[in-house]
Amino acid sequence: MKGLRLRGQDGATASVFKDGALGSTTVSGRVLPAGTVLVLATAFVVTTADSNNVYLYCTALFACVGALSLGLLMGTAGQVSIGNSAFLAVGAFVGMWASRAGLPLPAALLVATVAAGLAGVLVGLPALRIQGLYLALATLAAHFIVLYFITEYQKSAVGSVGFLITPALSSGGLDQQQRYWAWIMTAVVVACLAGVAALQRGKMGRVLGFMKEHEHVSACLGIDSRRYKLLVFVLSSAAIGFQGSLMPYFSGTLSVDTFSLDLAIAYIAMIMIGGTGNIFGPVIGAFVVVIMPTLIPDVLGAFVVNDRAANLAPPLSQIAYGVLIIVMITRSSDGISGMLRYVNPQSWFISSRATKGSN
Amino acid sequence: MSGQFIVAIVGGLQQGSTIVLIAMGLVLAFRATETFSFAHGQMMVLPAFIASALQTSGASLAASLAVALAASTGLAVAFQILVLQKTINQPVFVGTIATLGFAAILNGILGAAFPGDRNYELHIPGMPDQLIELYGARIRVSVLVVAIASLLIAAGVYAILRWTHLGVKLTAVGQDALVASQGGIRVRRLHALTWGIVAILAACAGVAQAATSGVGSSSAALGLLAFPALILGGLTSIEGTIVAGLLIGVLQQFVSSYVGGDKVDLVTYVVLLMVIMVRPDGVFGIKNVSRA
Repeated sequence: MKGLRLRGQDGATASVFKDGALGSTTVSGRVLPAGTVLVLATAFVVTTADSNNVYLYCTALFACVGALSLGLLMGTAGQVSIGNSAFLAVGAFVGMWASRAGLPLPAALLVATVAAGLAGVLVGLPALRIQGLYLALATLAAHFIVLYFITEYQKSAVGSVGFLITPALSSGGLDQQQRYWAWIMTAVVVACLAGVAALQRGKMGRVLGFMKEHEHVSACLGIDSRRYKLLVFVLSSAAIGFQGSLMPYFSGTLSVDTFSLDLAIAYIAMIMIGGTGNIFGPVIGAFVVVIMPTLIPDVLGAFVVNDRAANLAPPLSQIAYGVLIIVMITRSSDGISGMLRYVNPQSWFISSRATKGSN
Repeated sequence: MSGQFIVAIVGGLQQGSTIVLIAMGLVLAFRATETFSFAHGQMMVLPAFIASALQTSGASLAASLAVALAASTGLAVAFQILVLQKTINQPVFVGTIATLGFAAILNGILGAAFPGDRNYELHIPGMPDQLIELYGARIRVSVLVVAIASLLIAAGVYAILRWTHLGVKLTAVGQDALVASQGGIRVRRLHALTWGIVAILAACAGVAQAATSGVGSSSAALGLLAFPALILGGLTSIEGTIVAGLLIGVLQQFVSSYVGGDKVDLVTYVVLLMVIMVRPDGVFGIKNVSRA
């Protein structure tokens, strides 16, 4: 354990180089393994799981988009955002507004994505000028400001129940529809993986990585970090907005109640649990955070009488991911992907002395 | 002057005095460990819930408050020692995220132990419940009592930080932990102690809130509504926090009384964004904010 901690001390530096050391550094080299795993998982789930579990799997895939965006922001720009819930809401409600105004679906999705990106500019512009964690506070403010406006819109448009729409692709029945969604979201998540890998590999990623390691040197070299920080924040906001704009077409409902502060914190939990050093980290985190609460009632049901279990499940899942965040912070420098970094497959085949130098 | 105006002013000063207590806690937490504490709202509500539950089961107010205070202070100090001290040498945002995790845990504990379908109240014996006339406005005496008590506590903490040996040490650690440690100050111990004081301030704010508007988990939101006061006051300045806290409290009451209660959040957080945009180092803070 001691050794782990020491290695963790320069976690940021390690993550920059270790990712390269473990696998390929090219974009396709990093995306292909992750994408293959995801496609195989989808094929497995779609053919074997029942409708409930496919729904859960789709929900997790949706969460992957937001988690990858937040992971990009935290991993490259070193900034925390509590705004995932707000940008999701912007995407979902602007998309709803646009499609009610008569726009065709693709145009509505585009408008929603752009709107979320613009919201990102509004929030990021003041906060990212300043060093420190002001973005966390600015996105907190944005959360409540957005919540106010969407509540007003929902009240004036449909009332407190929220919007009810016919889910897209529902012609083939519920089961078929969810299988379609599973494949669509797999494609979206793989596209996000590719986007994140390309951005990290591209100039922006390298500049931000350099800036994180050597802040003063990068300033002396005339690198305007604000531009890149803002760019990564706006891109991630737009991606989250896209996720939000798709969500109502999957679930068939849209209500303000979905977009709580707890949801925003759940996304941060995904990153802390999954880690950002590996491109697949946020995906792992998203699956853990989405699926864990559904397991808790089952586990609980084994110990407590059913009636209490139903009431206890939501607070217990909150405690569970709170504890997971803290365990990840204190025990690993970079969530699950940080732990996996110390797993060296080579050492399973070759004696440990031989691999010592290579890792 | 109209009655509504007076009520808004007095109510605002009371609300502001609670925000002062909250924001002082946030400032101390920030100075000690450079974390924005997102668990402060929960640290406010938890002792109020514990105290009210104990009181309902028959314990005296003093005993239930003592137990509640001990529990929440113990939790906060344990969190600082077991978690926050491990985040030193990690990226800066890790500590702040740890407080988010802590908040989730406390929220879960609150939700499991105190289900929402019951009413909780903290009854303070001897608290006057009559109304007085003040320039034609009718004001609850208890509001005045709570406001004055909160400000006295805030002044007391300010005095401790300003004029005692301990306070000077805390300030030194807050300004430069490395130099302070070379001066023979036990930095880790003081950081843990700071979080103890933070928990006590949070508990005071929670009890003040409970005494005027009942015990409810919705009060935890106040912990976040105090962030504008923290930034406006300049993040590190206790004096600034007191003035800014009162200002924000009065603003919130005026909005809720003249514009509508549903716009309090909106206005407060717009103020937060504006302050970040225009004066990120606050009005009273030392100008040490550097632009990236």
